Amino acid sequence: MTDPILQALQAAAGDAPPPPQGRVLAVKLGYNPNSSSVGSVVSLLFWSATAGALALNLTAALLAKRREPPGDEG
Amino acid sequence: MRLRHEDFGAIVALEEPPALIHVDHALVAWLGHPPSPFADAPLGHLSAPTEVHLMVTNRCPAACPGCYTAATPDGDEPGEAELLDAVDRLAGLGVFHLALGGGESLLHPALFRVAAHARARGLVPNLTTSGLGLTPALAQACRVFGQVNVSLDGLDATYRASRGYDGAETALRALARLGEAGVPCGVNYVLSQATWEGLEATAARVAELGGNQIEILRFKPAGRGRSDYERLALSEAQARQLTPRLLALTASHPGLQVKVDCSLVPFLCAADPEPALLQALGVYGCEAGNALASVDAGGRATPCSFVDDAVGTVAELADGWRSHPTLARWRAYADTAPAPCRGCAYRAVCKGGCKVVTRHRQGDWFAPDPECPRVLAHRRGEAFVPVAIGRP
Repeated sequence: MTDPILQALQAAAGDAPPPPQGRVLAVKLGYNPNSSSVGSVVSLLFWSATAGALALNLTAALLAKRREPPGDEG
Repeated sequence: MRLRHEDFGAIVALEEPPALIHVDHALVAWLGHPPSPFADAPLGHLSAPTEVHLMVTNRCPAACPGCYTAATPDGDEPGEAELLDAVDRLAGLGVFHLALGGGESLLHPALFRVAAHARARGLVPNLTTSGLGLTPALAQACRVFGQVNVSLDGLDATYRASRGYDGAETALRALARLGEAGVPCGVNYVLSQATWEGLEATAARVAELGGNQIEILRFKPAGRGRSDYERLALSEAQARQLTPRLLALTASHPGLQVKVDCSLVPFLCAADPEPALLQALGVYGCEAGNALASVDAGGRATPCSFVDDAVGTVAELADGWRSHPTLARWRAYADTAPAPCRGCAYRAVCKGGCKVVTRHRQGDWFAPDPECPRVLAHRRGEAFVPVAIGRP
């Protein structure tokens, strides 16, 4: 899930590399079709060893991207 | 992609993949947007709800005994112009997502025009339905929605015990039709004493039909649900068993997203998840009047669908978002909560649990959720013992 989000953000930012101090603070995935209360995905919460903290991963991915040499965009 | 300024920077709304991403001020600049005007003058709350629940009708033929809106076959229903105006005002406020519901939403003759109008104004409409009347043609039309969830409180006798009629097959047929039409779809499952045992079988059936999510909702004392609440509410032991059961569900059905509603967050926190991770993954406890607001079939805006603490009209909600006293009162609770919420590591996420349950049990909205396992232990004068779960 991190890659498509990263790609969407990078596409919006154009060619500029992500700023080193920039942080993704939270990521709320999906829509909430329930019309009575707000929902949260619980699948990831207790399996952090495998799922990791998505927001933290995304920040790390942005920083990694910033360090990529030109032309190494995958 | 839409970006909305906030105190902390901005919320970026993506449709592919669907996500709301909270970014700081540095990333706002990187994304090519001007600085947030709230950086120097913080609001102390979100600049608009992220989602609003818009009840398009309170008509429904089902007459479920626990219906939170007490819908009837001749219930209130706003006209098309009123709904379009509400969409315009909510779009103007900066709302991202619209959850359309009822009553039975499919009964409203303008439902799909309202959804298309929401799309045109930049909002993503989503839908809850019982599945009653969902023909293959209507399933195709549902492609306008970001996600459609069918209310399914169990299979066969479990559904009948919860909803008072044999509707499970209708709901499952609707889910199958939505899947065939390529509509992202899942189910909403109201968890109560009547449905406690049926969760796993239902999840398996939903996964088999290609549903992408099961959202588990706590049964609440609202509408017709008030009269039988004491019999149907979950026990403390069940509250403590919830997280291990959800983790087992997740393991059994990796393709099925398991979700809980805001009111179940106190039960989730009984298993001691990492608070920072909850925040990073956008887990919402009581967000009434902040990330969430609601408009009922009579056009009355409230902080949450279950609450009759009115803000006024949709116009008053939109115009008064920053200063309305009702909204201010709901937002303030987390910061002013008494013990044990005051010292709880989850206060910033959970925000005191479900106020609807609290008022029903204690006569006051603003007190700790009396069914929260931590609150119950505190009131008995005991140390809270977290629920043990297997961690990899």
